[in-house]
Amino acid sequence: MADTATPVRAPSVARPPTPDTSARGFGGRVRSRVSTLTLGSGLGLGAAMIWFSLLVLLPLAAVVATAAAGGWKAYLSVLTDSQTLAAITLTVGQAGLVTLVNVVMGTVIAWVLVRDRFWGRAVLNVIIDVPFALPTVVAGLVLLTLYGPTSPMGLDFAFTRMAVWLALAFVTLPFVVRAVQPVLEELDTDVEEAAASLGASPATIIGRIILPALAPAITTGAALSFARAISEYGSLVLLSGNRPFQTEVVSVRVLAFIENGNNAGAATVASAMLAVALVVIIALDLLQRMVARRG
Amino acid sequence: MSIEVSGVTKRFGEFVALDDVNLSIPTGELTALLGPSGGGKSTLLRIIAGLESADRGTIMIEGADATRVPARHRNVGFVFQHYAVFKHMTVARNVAFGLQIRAKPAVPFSTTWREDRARINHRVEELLDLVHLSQFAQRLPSQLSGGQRQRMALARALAVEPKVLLLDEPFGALDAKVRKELRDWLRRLHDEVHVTTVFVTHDQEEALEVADRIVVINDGRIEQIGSPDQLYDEPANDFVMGFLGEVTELGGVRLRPHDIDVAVSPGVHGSVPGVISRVLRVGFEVRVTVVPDPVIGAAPAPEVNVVMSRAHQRSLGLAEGAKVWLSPAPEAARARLAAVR
Repeated sequence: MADTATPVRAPSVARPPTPDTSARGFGGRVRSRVSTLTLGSGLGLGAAMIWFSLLVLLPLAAVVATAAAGGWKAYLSVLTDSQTLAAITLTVGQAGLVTLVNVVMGTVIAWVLVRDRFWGRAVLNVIIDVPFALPTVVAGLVLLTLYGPTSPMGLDFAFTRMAVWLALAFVTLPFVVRAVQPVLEELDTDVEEAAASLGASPATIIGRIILPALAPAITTGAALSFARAISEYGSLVLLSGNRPFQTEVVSVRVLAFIENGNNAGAATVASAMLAVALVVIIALDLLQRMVARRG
Repeated sequence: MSIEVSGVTKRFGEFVALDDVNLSIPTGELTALLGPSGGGKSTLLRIIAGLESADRGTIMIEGADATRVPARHRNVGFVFQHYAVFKHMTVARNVAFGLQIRAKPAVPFSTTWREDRARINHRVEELLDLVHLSQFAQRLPSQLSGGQRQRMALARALAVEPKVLLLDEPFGALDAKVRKELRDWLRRLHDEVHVTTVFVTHDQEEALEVADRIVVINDGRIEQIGSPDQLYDEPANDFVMGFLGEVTELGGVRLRPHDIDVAVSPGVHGSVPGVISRVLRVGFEVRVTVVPDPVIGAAPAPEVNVVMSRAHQRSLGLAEGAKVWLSPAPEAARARLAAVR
């Protein structure tokens, strides 16, 4: 990166002789055509990489390194522990379920917000973001009050798997909505009219015109929603009760490892979740490409 | 008659888009709906296509009442101003869309399925050939220019062999040069395909050049229906005359700037004397502005605009400040005079 930041560069020898017109910019600076990086964008890329490394790559590497420190045997023994396995299964399962529901409900909500005109639409549009804005423990408290033992509606989900699902659904609601909304707004209605005039039924229009156009946005929302769900902690600890084998999720399990001074164990579970997230994101991307092509 | 519109009225809230419109569109012709923006011509087209419903009145397409038939069952091809392409499909699949959704569901790789596919592919090839896009079949619409996209949209609409083809400002989003090319091309295409075609435009030159018949629509009402020649030579009213071309006033009569004879001596009886105030050359034509001499006891007459060829202007030696005598051209005068109230 350092050499792209050098302002003056001799014309590349390997390239055909560059005419004078390529020497644009201030002070007749000659740019090589090998890279599109200018001084400005080179600095930008450098800053981005340093920031990204400090915030993401280094901690990730540290997690993997800590997890790998004990070797394969220790790694597998942590993961095959039945309590850990139960936590992972519960978390991934519930996160998957919640994401599935979000894909449907989020798309429907986005559709209603973009296409329909009704009283209170603007308010609803703002309220969608509340699960985002609320500190998660507060969200947990709200859920406990509404769906706990003292529920005013008589709905007591406390210390059940339903509680986990409910908390995850609450905090991940905005992701798909907010991803789909802008794309839907850009979608021209004359495309739908064109399909109709060609003889397409409403179901065909949704399946072959609208959904393929929305697929990338829905996938993005789903990936964000899934990632958030498998790492959720604050909103569900109160309502779920963290019962081992029953309602204990991965993040609670990881915290237990850390509290017991078993950092390697915590890192092991974390790295496994990383792998799960990666697989799911890739799978979602493949699915999206399939839907977009199907059209 | 291919399309029969009778008594169609459409309101959007307080705004009357169409006011009791009656119109017959003959089979196989290329008809232009011409009028200013907001005049109701697009609304009429959308009502014919079934994309909008009329508040009152009926639409008959090829003898069948289509008033309550949804767009997808009308078998009408529609081309939009902004192309309305299916962005995620290749050009070939865009064109095939209407055929594919009509094909009966078949087991993949069965004989019927294969026959269907071969038939559709063949038809798509034919159509892409017709619109000169064969070599772009596997591209995405985003890789095409505006003119190419509109040709693709046209092929897509023609694929389902529609009873009528409706085009809503089809060249409105294109630049002037491409618009002119596509106009010629549409005319030639129509001569080949012969499908009853209605297109909406606000460009009178486009309508005069392409259409067999022009329907002038203004303020939700039809002002005049006729061939391009009829409309230009015998406009039914001031609006049609003004909308179809430039108009100037000479001796209390409204006529076209190129229908004025200019003389450098007082020859013709009743010619109007004046002084040239401005000579403006635009390419091959010259626009001359003449201030008529004041007549004692009368209100000052407005400036007269005259258009002539460069050669004619030179032969007369017209320049700013020259004295001229203006008179309506004899062969055009009657039509003009009759049209003016």
